[in-house]
Amino acid sequence: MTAFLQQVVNGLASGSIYALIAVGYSMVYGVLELINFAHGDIFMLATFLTLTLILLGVPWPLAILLGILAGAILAMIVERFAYRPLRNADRIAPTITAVGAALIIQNVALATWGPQTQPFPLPFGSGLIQLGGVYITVLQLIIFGMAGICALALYLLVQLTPWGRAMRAIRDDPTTAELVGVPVNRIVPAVYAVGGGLGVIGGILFAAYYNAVYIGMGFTGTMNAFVAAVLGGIGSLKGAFIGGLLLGVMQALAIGYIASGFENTVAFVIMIVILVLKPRGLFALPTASRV
Amino acid sequence: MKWQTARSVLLAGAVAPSLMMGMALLAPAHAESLNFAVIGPMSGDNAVYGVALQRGTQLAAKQINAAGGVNGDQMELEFLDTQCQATQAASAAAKIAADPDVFAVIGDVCSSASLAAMPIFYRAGLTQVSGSSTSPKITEVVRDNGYDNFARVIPSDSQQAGKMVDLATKVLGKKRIAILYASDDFGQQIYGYQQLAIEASGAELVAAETYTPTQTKNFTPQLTNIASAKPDVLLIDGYYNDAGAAVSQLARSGLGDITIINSAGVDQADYIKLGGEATEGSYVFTYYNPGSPLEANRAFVQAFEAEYGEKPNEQAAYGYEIPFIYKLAIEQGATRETLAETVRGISFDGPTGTTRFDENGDVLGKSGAVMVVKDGQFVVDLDLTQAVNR
Amino acid sequence: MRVRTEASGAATAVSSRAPATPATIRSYARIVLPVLLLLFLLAAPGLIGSYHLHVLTLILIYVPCALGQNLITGNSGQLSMGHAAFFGLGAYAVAILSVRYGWPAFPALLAAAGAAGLVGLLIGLPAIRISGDYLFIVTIGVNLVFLDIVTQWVPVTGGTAGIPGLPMPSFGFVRVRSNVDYFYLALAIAALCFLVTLAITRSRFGKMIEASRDDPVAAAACGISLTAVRVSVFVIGAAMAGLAGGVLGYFIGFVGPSDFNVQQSLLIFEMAILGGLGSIWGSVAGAAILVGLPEILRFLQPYRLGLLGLIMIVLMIYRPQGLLGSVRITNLIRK
Repeated sequence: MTAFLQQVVNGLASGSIYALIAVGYSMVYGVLELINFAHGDIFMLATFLTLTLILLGVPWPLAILLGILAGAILAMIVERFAYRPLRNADRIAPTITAVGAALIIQNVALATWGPQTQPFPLPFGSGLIQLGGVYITVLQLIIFGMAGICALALYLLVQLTPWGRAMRAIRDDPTTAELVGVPVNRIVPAVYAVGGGLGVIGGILFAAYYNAVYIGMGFTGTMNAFVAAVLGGIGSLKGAFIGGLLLGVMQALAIGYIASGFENTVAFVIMIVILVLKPRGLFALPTASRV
Repeated sequence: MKWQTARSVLLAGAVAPSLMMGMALLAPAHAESLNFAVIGPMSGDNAVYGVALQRGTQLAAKQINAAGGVNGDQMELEFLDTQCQATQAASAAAKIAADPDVFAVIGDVCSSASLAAMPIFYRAGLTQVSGSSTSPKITEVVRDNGYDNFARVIPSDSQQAGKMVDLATKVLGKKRIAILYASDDFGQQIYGYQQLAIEASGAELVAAETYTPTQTKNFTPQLTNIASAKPDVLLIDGYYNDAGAAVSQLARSGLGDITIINSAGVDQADYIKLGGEATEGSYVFTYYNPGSPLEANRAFVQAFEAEYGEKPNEQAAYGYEIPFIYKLAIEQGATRETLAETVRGISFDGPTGTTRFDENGDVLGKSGAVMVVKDGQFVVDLDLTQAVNR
Repeated sequence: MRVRTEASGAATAVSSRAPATPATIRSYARIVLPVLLLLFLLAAPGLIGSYHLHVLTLILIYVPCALGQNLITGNSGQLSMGHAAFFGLGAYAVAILSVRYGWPAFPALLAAAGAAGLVGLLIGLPAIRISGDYLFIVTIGVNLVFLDIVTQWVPVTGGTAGIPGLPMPSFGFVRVRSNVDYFYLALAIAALCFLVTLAITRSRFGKMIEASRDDPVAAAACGISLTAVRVSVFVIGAAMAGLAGGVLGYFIGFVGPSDFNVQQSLLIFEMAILGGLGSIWGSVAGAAILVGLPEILRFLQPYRLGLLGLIMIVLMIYRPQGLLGSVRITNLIRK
């Protein structure tokens, strides 16, 4: 039983990271119906940048802020050059340019930092809290906290600010939104920027939790975020968050109790089952699906 | 529609021949020197090992040429990237086999790449010596197909597996063993041999978990399972980056304090960098001991450090020996055709000790070394090394 | 079909005075050029060195993959990106059957195509319910699951160490003994798949495939079963890749997972969109360029990923129909 609870706690920690990555991803999908394949690689590059800044002696909070900023800017650059020229094409072309952008970012990172996995130092020790035989680390608490704070902040941003209103208007009906004067070309890059920034927070936590910064973390992040988003109902922010947590727990339990070495299989079997049986996910958007 | 078809045909008709012409123009140039081809993962996930092989062989060629070459000929190395992929290795091998100026081949690093290249070199009559392909499958393939052109200077994993278990049980006296192994040719094979050795030793295998090398970064589910089985020693059959991450997560998640024995290949400085304090006191079993007092080794380590500013690892040391083995064989009168035969009959003293081969081209009589991490550095544990080689 | 009249109009203007009209030149070219290409290929072993023959063999092995991918994505409009799984399945089928059970080459290759086709059926069926870009990710997932299985199922697949020592294939009296024989084997399989694809696209079935892509509602109203059409295309495309994978296994003599990863799927996908969706010659050109180019430009190896990415973006924005294609990928799937 203790081992089971331990697996659940650990799964929730990785799930929180997936959730943060998936929320940014799902937000872009909700507004633009575009699978942002470069999402993971954007946070990969930004996490490498953060690490480099930390190693250069930049104070921690500043390095992380700069990393988030870099992710947001990179997301906007990708939007400008790879997606915007195809805004009026159907969904296929931008999916492919997204893959193209992802490959270019990977190659840039590879040329800059090399193929080696790099450790991500922690500014604090590895403290432990024991709750009836189950260990929770300080780092895990920070991950839970960050995920909660970011989710709350995003919720307030989307529900209460004029920017959030404009974003929801574009999501519900882009043509009408443009007609009534919503500045689509300003709001859309901003959606990317916020999504990219959230991804970087997820990426940095990913790096810290697994103590690894490496080229493939972007692809892993993208694929897991996609599964999490589909699980919760793509486009729904709440769905993506809960989907992330569920995916983390299911993967941990599957590795722990079924067979190690099948993480991908677990994720994709779940996804295919959901897509076939409940294509709109567990928490589909209340508006009519446009898929 | 019609114009379209014609244009398609025209283009397609033009593409293939011009491609061929392009290839012909890039055909390899002739040279007077003694040429060796080195194949390995110079890029991609396994680049660390390919680069180590490259450095070792380059240093050897430089020293050989500075001392007058091989019978007066300068040694030239050509490096081909295979990324540890079978198809790429076969293409590289075909390129080498078509070049009459290549005297012999060094590599590959990954066993799968070596296996894909071996038949091509065999048909071309080219000698191939590998410094890091450790899969026991190679012995079978060499024996079954009569690949008398192949030899490897590093022992097969079947030996290493037994030594790691000996270290855990006989030397350190552990009874409850857990294993974390990479799900690749190296990890899966060595795990199979360890199961047999554990059974024979009378100890108990209490947990075995696997992970996907370079992909798995979250080891906590596996480590949680391992911890709940309460082992007193953990064998890690994997690579420096994975082992570093796993060991640090072991510490960060507070799953307890157990003895860790890593397989060869983890003896990279980056293991300590990645794993940090958690690696302190962990062991690595390796077939190369950079602290070995052999004269050949001291000179090699010194030259390597002067050239690259870091200590050599296993791949670099074994890679370094291969050009010297070729040189010795040629000086004993070997030609391109008789090289493999001469190499297999050779006795060579280098940084890793004495190298001799059996009838399958497998190396004989290599002794292992036990390294331990002390104050953030790898040092050789002499007592354990002696005990495990006994 | 969308005929690009402006190009053909320009050609007419240039050669209007010549007695040979563009139409006759075209009809000559349509016959002469493929014949020249075929003659060149038949004579290739005598014309080029062993390394170039090796690369040419590799290109020919990838041709059926590209044709199958193009049939699924170009003709049928299904955005699948897991073709390396079918390719690999064929290679593993041949390796297991020939090494472990001593099957001769002909039934082993048939089994390779059959196994890939069967898995194509299993994936094609749910694919009907999964649209557009979702299918894209699901098929990447299929590729990842395939890799998980072949790396973990050690007793059957040999794990990452793969299966070495595939025998040289023999077909009754015809035995493959040398690289030249491998080349002709690859050429025969590529030609077979080429002709099959040609026959399909020119047939009534081919029109049904395109109709169900361009206007599914109207096609269904005309009594075409969208499910049957799309699933059979998936099966045929997968079977071709499986067959090619079988030839690759024999040719390399070793089968392991590293050759069938997601990057390979990407490469095959890109063969179809670079060559041109819905174009048979485009598939051939795509395979030739994407397999041949990296061998010629070995020094560009470190930038390979980025180049593939750049090609994707530039193609989508400036030439969505690829080099030789007639279908713009951007028109494939409507909202």
